Amino acid sequence: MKTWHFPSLPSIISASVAAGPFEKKSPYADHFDTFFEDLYMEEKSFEKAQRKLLETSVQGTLQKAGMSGQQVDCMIAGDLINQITPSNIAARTLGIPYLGVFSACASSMEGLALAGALVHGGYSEAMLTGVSSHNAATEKQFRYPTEYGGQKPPTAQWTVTAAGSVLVTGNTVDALAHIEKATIGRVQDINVTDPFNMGAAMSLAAADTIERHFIQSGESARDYDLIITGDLAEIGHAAVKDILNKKQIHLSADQFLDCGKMIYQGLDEVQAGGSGPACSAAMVYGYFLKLLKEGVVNRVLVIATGALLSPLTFQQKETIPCIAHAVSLIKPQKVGG
Amino acid sequence: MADHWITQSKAAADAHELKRPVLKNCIKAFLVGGIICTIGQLVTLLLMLYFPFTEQTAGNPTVAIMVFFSMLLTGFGLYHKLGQFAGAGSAVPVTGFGNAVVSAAIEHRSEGLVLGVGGNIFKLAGSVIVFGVISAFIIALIKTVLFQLGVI
Amino acid sequence: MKKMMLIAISILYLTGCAAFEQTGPVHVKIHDGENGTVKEVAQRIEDTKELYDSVVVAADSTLVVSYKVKHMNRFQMKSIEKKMKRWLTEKYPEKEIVLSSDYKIFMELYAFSDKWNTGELNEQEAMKEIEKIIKLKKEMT
Repeated sequence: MKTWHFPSLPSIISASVAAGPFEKKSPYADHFDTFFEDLYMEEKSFEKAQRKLLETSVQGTLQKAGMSGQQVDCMIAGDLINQITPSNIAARTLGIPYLGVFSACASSMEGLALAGALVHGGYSEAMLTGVSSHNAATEKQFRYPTEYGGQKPPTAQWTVTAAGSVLVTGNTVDALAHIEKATIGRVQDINVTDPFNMGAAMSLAAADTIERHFIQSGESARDYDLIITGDLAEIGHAAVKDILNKKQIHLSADQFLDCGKMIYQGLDEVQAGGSGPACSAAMVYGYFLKLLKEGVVNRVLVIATGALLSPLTFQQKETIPCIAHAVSLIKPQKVGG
Repeated sequence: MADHWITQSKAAADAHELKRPVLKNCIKAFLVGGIICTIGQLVTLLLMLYFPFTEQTAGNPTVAIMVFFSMLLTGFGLYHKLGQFAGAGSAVPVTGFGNAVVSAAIEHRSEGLVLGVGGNIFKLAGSVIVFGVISAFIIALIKTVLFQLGVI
Repeated sequence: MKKMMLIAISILYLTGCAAFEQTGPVHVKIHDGENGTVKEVAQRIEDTKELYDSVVVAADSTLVVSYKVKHMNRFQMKSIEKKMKRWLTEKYPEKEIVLSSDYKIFMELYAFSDKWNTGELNEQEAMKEIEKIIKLKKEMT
């Protein structure tokens, strides 16, 4: 097993986040670019609304970079809905060559790692990668929404309604950040069957990927200013910290953050925190890239975690297999600098 | 070795798990369920006062009216807030049934009237109906047998 | 929001009280000669401690009795009714006996007794009214 190294430092040159109405209340809402006032977003269904989110985000990214869709070699996108159709259909609208990926909520970092690899390998000059999720569409797909009268336990997570995308090109100083390394996760399963407790289910996957990233790249927690997990939320995040402690990896509280915990900080109705591929995408592409660009932080490690369940598997009482992909990002600099 | 980490991780996750606040939920369910039933009683009373219904016959129209109320609340997007607050308190009374039917219908409207609304309207309520009918049948069977044997 | 809840709860509470307060007892005899019957039945209801408030209407062919059951005894409603019914049928075998603890029947009988006492109804109309109430009582759904 190896960590992917990208010594040519592929650059993230622009990023854009489109979000729904509830995310406007997020303490990090200032860092998101576009908002929709309504969950339907002037579309007929939630699934169509999710596609619109991704389209809006991608167009925002292209616009910021001053590029057109024709100049992009390929788009890597994923989401949670039936056979990733929102991404597929958005790709149809955008007319960009397209690779669909699925790692549930880890799709964001899967896309970023692949984009980095393809650019570094010289196969591509400009790669788009993005993910989207929509609260209502995801609830409809995976769980019984509270609209059906059920009561959510305090471990439940709230799927983020948003889409985030970035444009990755060869190294340039005029970048938001560079992709430095990536560690692809192994599927881990700790025998959790409760889809309302995904944070706990994903904990080992995240811990395993972090540990492997450090061992394989010869680094330690001290080499990173921030270590950011995707959507572990309260329970999972605390559990990962414990597991890593047992593995002799010690992370300090202000170094080890979680997008799921941050995005809805101070909002009561979300139970344990946010989830969904767009949770990590919105926070990383919206907020943390800015921190890197401004030089507030030098290096961050982003670990997006995904619970690979389907409505069928959990009704058939299968345990929830989980995955986590890690990508390390570094602030803008010249190659070798 | 792998197994070791699975159990370790499970233990770590369990240590941080937030338990459902059962007692608090029970109290909330009791209060909200009680209020819903009191409203139902009020409806029964009004039916008896102003319409020719007896206590015996007012039951069915009361159920219909309560379901209608919950349908309105569901349509206006209020019932799920009550559901998250009260849990069983709002799910067990017949209003919960109305809510389950209507919310499923609204949610699947985008798939069309026949396959969407028609096919999914009883997605949740269907099992209520199925098991209601089955248990009613079994109880009736037991009662009939006991009658025939002269026990009752 | 809290204020509204409070108001709603107090309205519910008050209406609940109003419905079950005592209005009777009322005794009505349609035909002369039923004086004794009315008195006997009323006494019997008075003696049954689970019951309060009653309307007894006696004609020569029918006897309609309605009563309210004390709240904590409502679980025994069926057995109370059974006992009462047995006692009445044994005592007045020649009469059609209608017995009800239904609040609606109580109200109807009470309204009927009011009308009867003010002399609005003659004997024939009264019998028709009673028939109507009996029919209402026998409706099941």
